[in-house]
Amino acid sequence: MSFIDTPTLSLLQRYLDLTAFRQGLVASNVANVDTPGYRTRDVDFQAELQRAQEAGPQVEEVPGLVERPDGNNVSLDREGLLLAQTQLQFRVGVQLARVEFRRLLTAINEGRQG
Amino acid sequence: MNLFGVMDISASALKAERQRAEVVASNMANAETTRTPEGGPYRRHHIVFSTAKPSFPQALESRMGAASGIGGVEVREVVPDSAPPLRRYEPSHPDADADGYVSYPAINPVEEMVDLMGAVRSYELNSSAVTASKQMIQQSLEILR
Amino acid sequence: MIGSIGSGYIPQTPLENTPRSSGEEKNSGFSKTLSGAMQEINSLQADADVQVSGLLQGNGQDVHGALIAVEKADVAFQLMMQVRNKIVNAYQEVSRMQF
Repeated sequence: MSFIDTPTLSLLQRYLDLTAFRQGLVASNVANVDTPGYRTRDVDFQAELQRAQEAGPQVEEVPGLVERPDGNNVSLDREGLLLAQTQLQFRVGVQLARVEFRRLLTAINEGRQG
Repeated sequence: MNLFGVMDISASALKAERQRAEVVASNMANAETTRTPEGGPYRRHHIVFSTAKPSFPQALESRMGAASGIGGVEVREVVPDSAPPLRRYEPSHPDADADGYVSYPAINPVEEMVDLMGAVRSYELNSSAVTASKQMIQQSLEILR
Repeated sequence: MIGSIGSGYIPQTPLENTPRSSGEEKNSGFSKTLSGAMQEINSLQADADVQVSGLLQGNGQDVHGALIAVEKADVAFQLMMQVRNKIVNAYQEVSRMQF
C-alpha cells in the first residue's frame, strides 16, 4: 500500500520542507539586518529540490550583495521580495498536496458503487 | 526548527530593534543634558547587535543549527560613546567649568533620527516576517481539507 | 466409476484436489496481502502519532509534515475500509447464492 507515497506527494513534501526551511533563512537574514558582519544566507532551491536529501539542505552565502561599512550585506529589498515569494510558494505546495489527497480519496471512494 | 521557531527568530529582532529605538530616544531626549548622576554630561549610547545562537535542543534537532551563523538577533551590549563631549562657552551656565565652558553630549539629532528610521524600517520588515510565517502555518491546515 | 472404500482405489479427480489447494493458496495469499496492508496502516498511523506529538511538544517538528502524515494515515485507512466493505459484500453475495 505504498500507493499513498505517490511521486507527486514525495516531491510536494520535499518542496514544502525546503520552502519552510528557506523561510527560516530569510527570517534570519531579516532579523540580522543590523548585525555587524552578518552575511546573507540562502539555499539553491532548485538544486536542493532535485537532490535526494537526508543531509540538511546546503546553506550558502549569497554572492553579489552590497556590503555596508560594518560588514553586513543584507538587502531589505531582496529579503522582502523573498518573504513574499516563499509565502506564495508554500501556499501553492499546500494546495497541490490537498488536490493530490483529494484525488486519492476520489479514486478510493468512487469504486464504492462498483 | 519549524515555522514556530522561525517566528521566534523574527520576534527576537522585534525586541532588539525596539531596544535600539529606546537607546536612540534616550539619546535624543538627553541631547542637552549637562549633568548626570555619574557626573559630567550625558554620554551618547549606542547599541551593539549580534547573532543569537539557536537554543540548544533546537540546534541538535534542526539542520539550520548546523549551518552556523544563522539565528535570531540579540543585543550584546549598550555602550557609551567614547567621543569627547562638545564644549561650548557659556560662563553663566551653572555647569560651567573654571574656564566658563559647559560640556554637552556629542549628540547629532540628525544622526539619531536616521538611526531611528532605520530601526523602524527593520522593525517593519521583521513584523512582515512574523506575519508571513504565521500565514504559512495557517495555510498548512488546509492540507487536512 | 466410484470405487468403494475397500477397493484401494483412491480417486485423484481434479474436483477433489483443486478446490482445496487453490482455496488454501487464495486464503494465504489474500490474508498475507491483508495483514501486510494492515501493518502498513499501523506504521503510517504510528508515524503520524509521533509527528503530531512531537509538534505539540515543541520539538521543532514541521507543521506541514505532521499534517501530511495524518492525512496519509487517514487516506490509507479509508482505502482499507472500502476494501473491507467490498470483501464483506462479496461474501454476503456468495452466501446468498443457493444451490
